[in-house]
Amino acid sequence: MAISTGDGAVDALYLHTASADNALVVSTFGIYLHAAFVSLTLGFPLAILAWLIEWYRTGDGLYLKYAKTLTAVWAVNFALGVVTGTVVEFGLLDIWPTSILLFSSSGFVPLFYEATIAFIGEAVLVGLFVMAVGRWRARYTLSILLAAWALGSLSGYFILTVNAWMNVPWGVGGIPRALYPFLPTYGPDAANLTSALTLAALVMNHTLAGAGSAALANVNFTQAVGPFFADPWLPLANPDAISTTVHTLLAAYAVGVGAVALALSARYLRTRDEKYLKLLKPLLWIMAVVVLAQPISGHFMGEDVVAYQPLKFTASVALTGGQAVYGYSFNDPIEALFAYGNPNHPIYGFQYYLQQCGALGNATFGQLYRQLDPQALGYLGPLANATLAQNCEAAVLSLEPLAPLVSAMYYTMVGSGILLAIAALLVLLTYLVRAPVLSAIADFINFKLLGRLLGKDNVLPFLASAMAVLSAVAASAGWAAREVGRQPWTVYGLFTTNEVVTSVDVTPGFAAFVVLVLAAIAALGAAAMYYTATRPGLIDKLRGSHE
Amino acid sequence: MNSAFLSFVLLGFFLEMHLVFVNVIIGAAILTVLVRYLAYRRNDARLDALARDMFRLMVATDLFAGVWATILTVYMASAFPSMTAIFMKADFYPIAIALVGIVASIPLIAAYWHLWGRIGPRTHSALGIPLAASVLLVPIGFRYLFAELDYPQFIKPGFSPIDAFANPIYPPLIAHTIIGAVDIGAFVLAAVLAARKNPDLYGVRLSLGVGLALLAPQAVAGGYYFAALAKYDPYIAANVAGPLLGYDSPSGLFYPAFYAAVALAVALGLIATYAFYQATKGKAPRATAVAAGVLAEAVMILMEYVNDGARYPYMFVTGNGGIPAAQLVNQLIQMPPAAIYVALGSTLFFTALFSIAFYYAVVKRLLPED
Repeated sequence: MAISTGDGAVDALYLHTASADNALVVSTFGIYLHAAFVSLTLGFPLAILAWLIEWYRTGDGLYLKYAKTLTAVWAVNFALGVVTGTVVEFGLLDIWPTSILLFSSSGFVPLFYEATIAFIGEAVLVGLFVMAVGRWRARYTLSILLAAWALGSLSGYFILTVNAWMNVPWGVGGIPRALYPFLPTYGPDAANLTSALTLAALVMNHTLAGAGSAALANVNFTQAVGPFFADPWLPLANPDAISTTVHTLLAAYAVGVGAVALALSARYLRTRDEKYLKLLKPLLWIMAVVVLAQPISGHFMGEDVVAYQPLKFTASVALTGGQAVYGYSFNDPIEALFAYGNPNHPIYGFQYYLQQCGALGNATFGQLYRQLDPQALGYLGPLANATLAQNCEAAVLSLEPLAPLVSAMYYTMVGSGILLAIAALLVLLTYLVRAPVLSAIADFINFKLLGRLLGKDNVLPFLASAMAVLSAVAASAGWAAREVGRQPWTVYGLFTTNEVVTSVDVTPGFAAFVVLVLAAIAALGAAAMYYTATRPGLIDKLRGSHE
Repeated sequence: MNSAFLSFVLLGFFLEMHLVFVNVIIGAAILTVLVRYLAYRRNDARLDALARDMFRLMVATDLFAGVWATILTVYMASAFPSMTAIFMKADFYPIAIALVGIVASIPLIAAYWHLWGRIGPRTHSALGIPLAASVLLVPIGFRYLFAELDYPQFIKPGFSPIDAFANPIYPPLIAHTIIGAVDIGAFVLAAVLAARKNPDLYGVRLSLGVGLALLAPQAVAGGYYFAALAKYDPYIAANVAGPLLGYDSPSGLFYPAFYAAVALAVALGLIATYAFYQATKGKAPRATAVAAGVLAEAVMILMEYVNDGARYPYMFVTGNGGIPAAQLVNQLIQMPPAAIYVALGSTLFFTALFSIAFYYAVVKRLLPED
């Protein structure tokens, strides 16, 4: 995948081993599967909430019936989220053991709070809501539902905070910049420099010996490293954590509510029963608001990429930049306007970053450690003679071959997002609110253009379905661009993928087995949710009758 | 209190909370499958209803035990990163086995529940075999981690992850664990059934009978486990048995708890026998059956406290010494006490809320209208 630097020690850090590639396949599949279930877990309560409010407002039993049915689906989905979450969590620890460092340093507060506040609370309240819906007074039922949804979202914030730290390691200050001069400073200096260097040396040493994660399995590991991160609360204030959380949660709500909208639209198109359109309308309000807020939060997330992940930004625009992306710089007025607020600002190509690496001169790792952390010098082994410039260049060269993929995912997200916003506006202005001129334009598009193509009655279900599908496409592609674009690092500017993978060989057979198991969960889970969704009385049967 | 001790105690607390629920799951799952099979063989509707009650108890507890497992895992990786990394390296395969169990059990639970009464009783009983197997795979996998703590194989030169399966502490430990879990599940089930408004005396009698019948095998398994500890972990054995059995105990914190647990186990046997007698006479043994359920959990909590605490100040024990917890405790950050207190407060609050919901869902069978 990546280009060899010719230095075996440096290559060991950047060129993926077969085991790392197999492990990436397993984790990618597992995380996407978990994300799919979790998106539904976060979106379904909004749909249930909308229907319950309609029921309390109108007294129409149809809304309660479907709120109860969706509650049962939500419960099944929550259980599946727990299972896939457990697999992902243990997968993280088992297949990427260096990630234990996150649990024990920057990720401690968010991960601990996710488990002890958000997850436990959500689990209890989901159970309580399943028992209460349709039985308790409205104010109790809605309060439980809202609290469960809020705790689910809080859980998302905590988990995404850790992911954001892997993308923007807030609190490590200028440490990454010392090795990669094109990187910025990441917040205040909360990381101890000597400990960080010792940690890096230990992990690199074991990576050269086969697997960096083996460093942690030494009983003297934490004593050897010493105090590493001074402010465990700091990651909660990571600017990328805030923008990532808002953008990702909105995407999850859109996917979750969109899945319900898609199911209702499909039912309507098959049966022509107006009740499905009646059920669909309250959901469209949520979809429209969420979808139209997405470009704003997405813009802030994009600003973080420009500011903190310059290589990823360059990779993202590879398709519009063409060959120029591999040069020093190029002009792209639209991207430059969004990224820098100035259409004339140059966008840097990979050659720019390689030139920045050159500024490190002939300094070697050995010289760096001799000056700053002589005690860890012994861990470097053959890496002591590698130059910092070689190391920096290897990082840049690692991402180059992936740039077209990152860019394809990025533009798929942008394109889907634009279509999604158009669909949301068409729904909003024709079916939900009336605004002078704008609604007339939307009506013209919906009834004169789309109506002629699809049939007037099919426009609304078509737009709802399009929003659902485009939400899922945009979310999947956006996440792929974010995660693939993080290469060659697992923690940006600090740890490469090879440094994180397990010392136990992840064979293709093992990877295939895990993927098959996960695929079976996906298939059975989808079947279970479909089964529950098509049996309206199931929740009452589950809860039992009065004694 | 030093940070290593505090971290050790907290890890123990999270483990105990997890085990309170997970033992009920294992016990109720095994008993469900067995009773369901008996119901089919004897064509007994009462046994079938009892099996359904057992299954409901398991389902109600399952997710919450999973939540505590997550809390335990997160805290373990946070507080003892090297120990966790050692587990991930040395016990890679046992952990994979446990994960397969977790993953397989959820769809099997759903299928078992859904197909009950929809397919032939013989086929449904057969479906119980993979269900019970998947539930058992979880302790079967994870108990290797405890065996690793008592008999660390990773320190041996040339250790390969496959060697984890040859740990001599493991066979008695897993036998003691599974028999104990089924025993606890039986007593807790008896407590739940007896606490209901119209108790199912047949179910109470049967579950108490199973619980009582398993007390002796559990004592034998305990003796077998203690013998293994005495051979491979004299430090733990001395802390558990104390001067009463002629050991020079390094700490006085554990053997009193061990003997208290033994005394409670005897009390459990007596109270459960009396409850069983009451049930056979047609009288609902509400207080005694509930007491038996509570005592069963209390014995488990004390025994696990002794089993895991008696290694302190070591984490991995090798004979009379070991690798101290202080050497493994996280030093990369200073764990903020406020974070710990808030987390503890939150878990206790939600556990109380869960217990109330559990009481209404499982004991009262439903929630009141308002």
